[in-house]
Amino acid sequence: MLLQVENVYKSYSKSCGIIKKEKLQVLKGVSFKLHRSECLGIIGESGSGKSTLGRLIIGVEKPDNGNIFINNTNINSSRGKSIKKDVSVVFQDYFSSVNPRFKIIDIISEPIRVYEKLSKKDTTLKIINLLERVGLSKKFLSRYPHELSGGQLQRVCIARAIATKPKFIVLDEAISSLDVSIQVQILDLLKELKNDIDISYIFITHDLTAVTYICDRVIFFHDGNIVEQVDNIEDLKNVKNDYSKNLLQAATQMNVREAIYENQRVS
Amino acid sequence: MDFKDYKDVVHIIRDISFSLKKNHCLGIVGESGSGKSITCRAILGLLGKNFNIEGDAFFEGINLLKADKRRIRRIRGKEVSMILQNPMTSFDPLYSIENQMIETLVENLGISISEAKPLCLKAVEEMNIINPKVVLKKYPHELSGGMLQRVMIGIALTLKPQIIIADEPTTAVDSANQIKVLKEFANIKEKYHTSMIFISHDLGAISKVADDIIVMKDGRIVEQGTAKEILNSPKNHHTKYLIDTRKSLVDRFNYIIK
Repeated sequence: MLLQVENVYKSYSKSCGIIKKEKLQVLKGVSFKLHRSECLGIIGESGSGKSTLGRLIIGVEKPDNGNIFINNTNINSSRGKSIKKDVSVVFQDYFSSVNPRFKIIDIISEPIRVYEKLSKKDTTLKIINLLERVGLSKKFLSRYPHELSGGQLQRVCIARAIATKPKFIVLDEAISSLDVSIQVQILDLLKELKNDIDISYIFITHDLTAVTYICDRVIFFHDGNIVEQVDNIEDLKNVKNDYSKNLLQAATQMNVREAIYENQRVS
Repeated sequence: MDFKDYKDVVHIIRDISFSLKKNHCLGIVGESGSGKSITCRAILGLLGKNFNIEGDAFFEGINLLKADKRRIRRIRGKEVSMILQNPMTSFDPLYSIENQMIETLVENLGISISEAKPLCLKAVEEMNIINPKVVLKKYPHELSGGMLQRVMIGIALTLKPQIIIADEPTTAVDSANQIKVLKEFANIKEKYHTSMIFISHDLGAISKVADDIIVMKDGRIVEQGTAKEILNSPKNHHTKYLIDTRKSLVDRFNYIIK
């Protein structure tokens, strides 16, 4: 078992007025497992708590209750620190997840410096390798983030994520702010990487179409709970929960083939 | 409406001409950076002084690019409304939804605050928002992106403009709500006979509402025609590329659903 999430609860306190405080329960007892070399989709609307779950998994926040195990090690125990090397993350907002004053070479070399002792020359070689891996050439090395397009910068973020050879990557809406045509390119890249370097993904999104393109399993997330789990993506059409059905129906309406133009007008 | 445009120094847009017919929806599709949004901003005179705009844009015989500022301000809002991409940042976080709606209506329609109030309620009700009275009292951060987007469409509609320019109205909205917003646009066109310019990077969304489509790339129009022509028999290779990438995404989805 690569990742095991057990009965996780998380709440934030929300201030109402000056003294009164309210507790906002974001996750209400979430459990699931991630196996080796699979892609697990977590789908839900904004505010459903799916991003919070992602943050708990990578260990930037701690759950109030419940445990998260990576390779049977609790990530919040003292031994958990070394295990965090196995996890990486790619966020939706590619521009704010890189330091604007860093060149691309500095951005990617940061995680390598932390986890590996390599000479400067070896680090550069490794970075060039990583860039080629994600479809960029070495001429990007000395560029700054603002000189890259969204799709290119997201590729850099993916290169940075795979730099430490993680076992799995949390992709938090990683393609949502890209153009449709670029989305497909990034999804293809992710698929390719999955086959080449044996990596798992947790693909957090609100877009069911993208989920079907890349994921093996799907979890429907609603209001801090898992409302339905589809273990084989081909069974997606048989979802039973009302919320999942709703999402599926909306996606189906959006995806009627462009070629049959006359039949798909919404009015 | 005709529009011809030409920009200097860094050429953002080069020699674009198109026309919007009455009660038609014109879809502008292209990747980010292709100049779709800036075209529309140029028409409305929303660009700063460092943009050098050449050409003409006619709205009912008035040249929007040459007319004086006061006149344009009257047209903008009342006759030509714009719906923006990011509903979360388009509202002032310090004022309730109702306050902002009233402000817009009083300013543009020249009515009193007490006259504007019922209009606000009606606008929100027509957007199929549950508990319209409660929603009006809320602040922007208390509503979801989809809701705010519908409120913004509601405001635009109450002004009964001749033209609505919608700049990526579905991009910031959850996929479950995207189809709702698109239906709203289709409704508007039927009910109010408004003309629309619908900008998006998503051919899927465009194909749901547009009658005519313009495909833009690097500040130029690479193909234009009726939606049927463009979607069924694209000629330009960039159009084909946009259609194919989307198709590969959708094909897998449809295969699983079938």
